[in-house]
Amino acid sequence: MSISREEILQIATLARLRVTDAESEALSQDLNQILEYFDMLASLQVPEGGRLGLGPPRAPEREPGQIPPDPMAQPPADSAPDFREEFFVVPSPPSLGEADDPGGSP
Amino acid sequence: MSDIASIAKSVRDGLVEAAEPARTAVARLNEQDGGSQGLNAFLAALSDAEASTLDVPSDGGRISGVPVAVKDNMTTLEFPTTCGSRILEGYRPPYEATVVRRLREAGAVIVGKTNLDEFAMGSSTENSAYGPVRNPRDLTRVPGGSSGGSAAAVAAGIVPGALGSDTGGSVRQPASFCGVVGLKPTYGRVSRYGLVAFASSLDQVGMFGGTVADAAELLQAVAGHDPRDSTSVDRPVPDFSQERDAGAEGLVVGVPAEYFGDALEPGVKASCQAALAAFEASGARIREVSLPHTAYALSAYYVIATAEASSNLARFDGVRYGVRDSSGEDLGEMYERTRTAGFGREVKRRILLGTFALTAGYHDQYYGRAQSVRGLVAGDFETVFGDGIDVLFTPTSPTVAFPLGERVQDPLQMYLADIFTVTANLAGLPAISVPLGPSDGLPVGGQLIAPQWGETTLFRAAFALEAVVEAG
Amino acid sequence: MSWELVIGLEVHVQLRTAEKLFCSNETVFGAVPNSQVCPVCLGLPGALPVLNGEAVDLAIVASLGLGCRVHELSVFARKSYFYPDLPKGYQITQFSEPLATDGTVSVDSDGEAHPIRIRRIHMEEDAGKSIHDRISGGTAVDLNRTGVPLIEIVTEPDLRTPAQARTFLQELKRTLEYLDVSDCNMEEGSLRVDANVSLRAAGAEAYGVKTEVKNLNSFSAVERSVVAEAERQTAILEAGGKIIQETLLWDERDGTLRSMRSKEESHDYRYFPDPDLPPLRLEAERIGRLEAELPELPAQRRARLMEEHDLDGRDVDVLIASRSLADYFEALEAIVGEAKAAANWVKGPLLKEANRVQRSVDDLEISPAALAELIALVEDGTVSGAMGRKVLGQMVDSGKTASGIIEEEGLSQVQDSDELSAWVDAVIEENSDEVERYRSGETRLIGYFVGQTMQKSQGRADPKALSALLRDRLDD
Ligand SMILES: [Mg+2]
Ligand SMILES: [Zn+2]
Repeated sequence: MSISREEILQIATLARLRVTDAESEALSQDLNQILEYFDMLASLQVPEGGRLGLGPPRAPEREPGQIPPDPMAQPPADSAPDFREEFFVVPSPPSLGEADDPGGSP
Repeated sequence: MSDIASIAKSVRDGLVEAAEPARTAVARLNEQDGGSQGLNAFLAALSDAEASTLDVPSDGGRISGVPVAVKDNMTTLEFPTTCGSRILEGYRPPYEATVVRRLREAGAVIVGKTNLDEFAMGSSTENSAYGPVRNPRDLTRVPGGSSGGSAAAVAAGIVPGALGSDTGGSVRQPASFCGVVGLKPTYGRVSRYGLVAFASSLDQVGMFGGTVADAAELLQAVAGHDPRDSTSVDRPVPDFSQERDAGAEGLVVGVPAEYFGDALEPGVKASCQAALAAFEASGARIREVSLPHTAYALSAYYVIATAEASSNLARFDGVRYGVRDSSGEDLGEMYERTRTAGFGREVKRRILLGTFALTAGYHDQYYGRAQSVRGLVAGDFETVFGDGIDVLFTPTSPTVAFPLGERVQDPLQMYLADIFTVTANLAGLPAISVPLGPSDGLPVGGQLIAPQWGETTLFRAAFALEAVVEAG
Repeated sequence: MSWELVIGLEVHVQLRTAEKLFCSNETVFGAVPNSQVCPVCLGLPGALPVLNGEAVDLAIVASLGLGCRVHELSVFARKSYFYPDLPKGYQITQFSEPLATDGTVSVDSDGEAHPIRIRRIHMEEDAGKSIHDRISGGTAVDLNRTGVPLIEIVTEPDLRTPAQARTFLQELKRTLEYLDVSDCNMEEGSLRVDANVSLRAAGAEAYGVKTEVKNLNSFSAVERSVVAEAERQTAILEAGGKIIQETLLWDERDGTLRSMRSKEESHDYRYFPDPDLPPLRLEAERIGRLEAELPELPAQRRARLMEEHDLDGRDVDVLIASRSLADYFEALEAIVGEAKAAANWVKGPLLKEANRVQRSVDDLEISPAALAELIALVEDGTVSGAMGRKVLGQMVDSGKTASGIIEEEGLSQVQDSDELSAWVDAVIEENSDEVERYRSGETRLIGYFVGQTMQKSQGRADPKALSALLRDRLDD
């Protein structure tokens, strides 16, 4: 398996990272060396599925009122880069107009 | 500096003023940590003024007045939490990690936050945005990582104990490099609430101590179910100090052949063999065993760890906290510039690797397969523990501490530093690194691994191993 | 060529819990922005999710009520994308192992019952709100809604007309209300719909390329946007073009569809199981208990009301149109003791009032006991039926009780013969011509005299006593 510079740029877009041309050269070398090492996984016969994880076998469920919200020593405004009129403020997305966002939950 | 139990006892007995041990720690920290040849183990600490006005109750609990350092990826109210990253420079969390609260409730004084590889990603503590940490045993060498600051703080005698986090060996490997004890408990034994996640299914808060007893004291203070962490498990916490004098008689110690191959430095191998011989002489029964999937563990580990990390680090987006780069035009540019400027090279490399491993086209080949291998690695351990082995013994790291700068340009070589430690994280098992005899004057650590929830056995073996090494 | 329209729906329903899905903040709508937040739902570094058991119960109830199979094992997964109202950079949802699958909702259209299959129901957390027109030069983000529990109901592409889609949604909403799992308030976003729309040549087996229509804030928006999208696709296909799989935004104001494509649209959600949450495991016994305690569904309610009371089928259909109306009727009937009267008052005057003030029966603030008092005052002749309906209107407007209004305004019927006599005498005196005609045999004028006298009494004269008295005088 090897990863092309183009793929690196696609992945960087997904991860919201900027990779310059010079960096993508070095990165593709590094990543390909690592992926080559990872490829030993492909040579192994593995059972289907695999385990679901460690820790407790089932998600604990809380009852209403059982765990109160962890109090905040400072309000959210104190750590926010830009907070105005009770809102976190960010630059507007490039493609959206003035309407309310339809959900943010695609 | 004396050990945790004696400090707490002299504070409780009124022989020492409760704030005195913390003041001493801060004084030592000021002596050793700053300057161009300083350790750079701390990112934040109490000032002299704060230390001199500390109000510490003398009856605070089991570790009354004990100064403790905390890795800077656990949230605290009194210090910033930066995770060694630019993106969190100056960030003050509005809430406290469960382990930090429990330390305070047990009477400890948090004297500072320790340096680390950015977001705990690294094996040398050279990936910190705030500069590398030096190894107190040899200032030209790395302390290991990612909890290098905590390891160095304990090794330098600044504090008798410290918290770290161990995702693939990040407590045990620096403990081994710095000649102190480093413990990773069973996954689920200690709350992760307030530990900034690197790889959630592998992360566990761990402890450093000058001695096994010190590590046990810290685990005692922070262990136990936390309803705010769904992966913490509700089961009783035994008194680990009980194992102190249990001895090695009859203990069945498995030695997995796969951990003693070509990767192992001869000096480290010699230390391990000497320790095993002494162990056997003290009554332990040594048996060679096999963990056949060991060779695949590191790959599986890095696939899972980077996949989870790519998701865990998505929240650092410059919207709600942290440092934003607002030089761009729109939201997309804000995200890209903030994250590109805020994260260091290794963090970005791992985010990209992990993102790649989860994309639709590669998910099964990498992430899916790695999960299956994880099951096989865990199965290997179940087999040997089901076969009469009480505890496994391995080297903690294939090498002693390497020189600063030696591996920073070679990520794969850096990853190989974790080859013996990642298996316990993949399987969720408790493991501890105990100092063995040195190799060419540099510390070597021996790793003990016990079955899930087997901390009692782990401590029994660790106390015994520590005793035979000291006697030898 | 003739085309068949194929519609599938994805419906997000907010569960009616006191607390959020993975933290304990409240879920109240309309609070001060960013006030119902904590380290967990703000996605602060180090914070961890803990599952809300109440939300799990409600999701199970919804699934069972929609005929789904609830799985004993389901898994929470992370769905990754960047958006300012998604604090963690991923949404906790369920992906390859959802809570429930394989349900049905029966929809009556064209006089026939059509079973619409539910593919799956899964639990997930809501995102916050991004407001683009609040702060100049930027987007304002409110995270109060972040982490509010949702279920996402996904249908098979079984719907064939926009009207059928609308009917399906009405039936779904009614069922969820009967199950009491959500307030289903569309204005507050408790029920949100996305529509998947495709066309295929009539008689073809394979589905065409689908588009996803978002931002549908009412059932009529669903219907109208699907009509518009079907027209758009038809035009493209007729012209020999190809449909591109994409997401479209419905603009309610001008009734148009807008493509959401952008350079960053290359979505890859990178789902994987959330390592912070062990699998959700449900004991068969828990599912069984919730199934046994499942609230009555509309069809069951209809049957029971028909059986318990002597009511007309069409009346019952009106009464069960919503759970709250049916509940109201039953509460009223219990006090009045007279099903027919209670039913007539509810489906007549009460619904008329609700319609007049554009509120739901619940929001009228006329308790069943208050209406029962009014009904009793009509039944015992204190006020006439017509006056009773007027009093109901005043109760709605003023919030006063029936007896209070009747007393304050002196509206009770007058049977006292002195008072009646005075009005009758005056009317006879003022209408001598008509009296003449009546007495000469035009007895149908009696109605005219009753009307005149009623007017004089401002509606208070008891009609029976009045007409007796009038006849008495006129027949002299
Ligand atoms: Mg969804
Ligand atoms: Zn919250």
